[in-house]
Amino acid sequence: MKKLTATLLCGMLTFCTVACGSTSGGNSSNLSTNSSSGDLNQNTAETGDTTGGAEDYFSWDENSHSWVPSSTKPEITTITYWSDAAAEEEIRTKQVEKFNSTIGQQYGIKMELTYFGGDYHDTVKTAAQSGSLPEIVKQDSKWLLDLIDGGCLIPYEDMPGSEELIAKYSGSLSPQSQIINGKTYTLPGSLTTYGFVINRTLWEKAGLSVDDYPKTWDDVVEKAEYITKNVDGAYGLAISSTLWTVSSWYTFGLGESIGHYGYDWNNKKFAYSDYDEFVKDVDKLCDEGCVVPGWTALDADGARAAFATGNVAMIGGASFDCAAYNNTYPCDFDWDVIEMPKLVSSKIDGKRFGLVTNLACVCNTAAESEEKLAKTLKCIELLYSDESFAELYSAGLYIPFRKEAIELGTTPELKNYDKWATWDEMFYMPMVPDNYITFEGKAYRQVMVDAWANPGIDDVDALMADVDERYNAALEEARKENGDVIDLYVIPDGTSPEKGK
Amino acid sequence: MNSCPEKSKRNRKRFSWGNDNVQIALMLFPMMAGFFLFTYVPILYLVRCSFFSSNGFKEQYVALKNFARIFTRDYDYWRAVATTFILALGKLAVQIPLALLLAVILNRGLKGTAFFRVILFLPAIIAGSIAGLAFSLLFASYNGMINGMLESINLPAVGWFEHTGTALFVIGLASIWNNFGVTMIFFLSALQTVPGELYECAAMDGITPVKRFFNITLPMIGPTFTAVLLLGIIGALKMADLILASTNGQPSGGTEVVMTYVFKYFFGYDLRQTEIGYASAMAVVTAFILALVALIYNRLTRKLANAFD
Repeated sequence: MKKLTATLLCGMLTFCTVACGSTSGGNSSNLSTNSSSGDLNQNTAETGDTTGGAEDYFSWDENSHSWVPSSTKPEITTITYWSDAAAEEEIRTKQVEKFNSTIGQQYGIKMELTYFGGDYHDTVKTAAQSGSLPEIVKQDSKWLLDLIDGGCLIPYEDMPGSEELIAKYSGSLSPQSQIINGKTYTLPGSLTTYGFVINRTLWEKAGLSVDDYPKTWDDVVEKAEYITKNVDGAYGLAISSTLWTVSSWYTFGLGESIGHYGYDWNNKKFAYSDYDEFVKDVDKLCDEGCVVPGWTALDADGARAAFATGNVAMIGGASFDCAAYNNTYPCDFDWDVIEMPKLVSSKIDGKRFGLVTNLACVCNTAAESEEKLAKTLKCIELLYSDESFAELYSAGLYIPFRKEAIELGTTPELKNYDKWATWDEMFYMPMVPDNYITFEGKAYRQVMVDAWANPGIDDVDALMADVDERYNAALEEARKENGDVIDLYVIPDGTSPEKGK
Repeated sequence: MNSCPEKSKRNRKRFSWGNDNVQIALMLFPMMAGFFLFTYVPILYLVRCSFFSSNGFKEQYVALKNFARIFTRDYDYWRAVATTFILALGKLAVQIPLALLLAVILNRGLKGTAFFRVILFLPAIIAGSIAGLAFSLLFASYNGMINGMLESINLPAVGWFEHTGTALFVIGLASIWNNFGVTMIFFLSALQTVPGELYECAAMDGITPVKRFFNITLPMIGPTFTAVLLLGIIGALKMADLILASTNGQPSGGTEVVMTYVFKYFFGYDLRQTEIGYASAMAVVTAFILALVALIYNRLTRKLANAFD
């Protein structure tokens, strides 16, 4: 009896363990279907006949590969979208609620949004490796290749009826950015522009005028030294040790001076040494105590908060910082945004650099059936619609990639927003192969921050030359293995970083 | 000479399906299966990964290349290892005596002991990352509270995170604050097992309190002391969250410890390609270093651990 009890107990434990395992990760699609059915009942019960004008239903016809009118309410399928752009959640949620109660009812779609925090890319990678991606993910071009190599994404062309959407972006898509292996894996959503933020009140307190705003990095150094020396408790420049700020606040914008942002497309080589002058200038300011003290422990928000105290004269910035200085860290002083000061060793008279941010990629989970792909496309059309982006633009969240969306919206009531959102000529930054290669040692931004943080490091030229050497050695290795891919990192035909070209 | 093996043979029970062994084995099986699955399989997988170049999606066998890179070219890894040891030694040199001293004081049964026991243990319930964040704000060079206090008494502000030495000092302080409570509780529970008669005898013999501590207390809590110290050493060598939340390795990699270094390679930090294979190899080497430390420590402290015998 004792043995029998033991055997039964053991069997039950093992069964429970196995059952738990298969429930949590074994068959998510079944779960999704079940929940969809549940949602369908719930929606039917909730909406009843109040489908908000959704009187005509549509069903997917496998023969004609198109939507056809139907008299019966379609079965609801849940399509999930993951994003890290938490700032847009409120507006997007309203858009999706409206979509679910109208188009969603007509076509049998329930769209769900999930917004993640700081470790979003790790979340997506882990989900991709474990086969638990949603139907749509927001993903930078930087990490697209990994997901495509892993067979996790499917091209837009595989979604029936996507031709019209792709055609809207005709001529604006770049190789390795949106087009990979000849197919479109994502489309541009918004733009990030770069500039230089100045505390005008402090500037005037130091006896300087608008005419003294820096035009070159020599001016930046001179004015930072002057203000630190002449205004009690003030500092010339704010920087952060968070590595993305080095590029987003400074080196990307400095592309206007050197014609690239680390990878010279013409010579097909990395050329971070072209930033030597900038690295030396900031190094000098750090050594002289003209930079906000304790910057090595300041993250991006810490540096923004330091600027917002009113005791810092200058800080680099990107268009997404506009909302930060208006809302998150409101500046109760007068501040301006100017173009990124040029390097004295400037190689070109460059256009303003802008980074295209992609919005949505379609995951292989959407390819369970042609109907699901067609439903996924409906959700993507919502995300990319000019009306949706006009709302986001009006709220000051994004500069839409399509000018039609800007025209539909209203200029946001944020101080200095127009300075970020207007330009004469824009150079859309093409992809560079820095994340395609595997190099040894520190990345370029870490080397720059280390040089600034360590007063003992003075030989910037040698450091940056070493960076180029390591990156280019890795590039050569990658070229030996797959030279065709490296050759895809080019400036698209008909574009140039130089003004007037 | 032959009696020992024979005695051992007699004592060794032969396994039989007929007694409770079947029940024991069956009852243990699910737990042991889970333990093996979730403890040893990941370790074996990690070791396997260390022989591959992998970004999580595609992998290529590279034999010992990852290890060759660690031992021949990755100066920063060894710098992180050295920083880890400096930080661990510096921290434990303060944390262990402090925890022991407080435990001895609390063990005297003075009024308010329970209150102070709770107060002193409270920092231990705070997550390491939160402790790191709190200390980085306290010691912030710009508008930090500590610098504000220094300035209010006409002392110059200190750039705590601008120099490796001061940054390590702050991290060490945060870690001691965060961990001494647990160490203290371990010591306290060990002290409470020491028979009071020993102290009474010592008092009658006129033994001084210092001698009493070294000749009675320390030997009696020896086994606990060695275990706590080993856990402290391993814990200090594995420190990561506190540093990621405070300095994140700055300035100039001066506060980069081995776990944060490995972590950054695992997750493709700073737009670099994710190097799971190389990170795994570093994790394996680090595990060997920790095992070596534990082995040496066990050899050195064998006498103290067996003092009670």
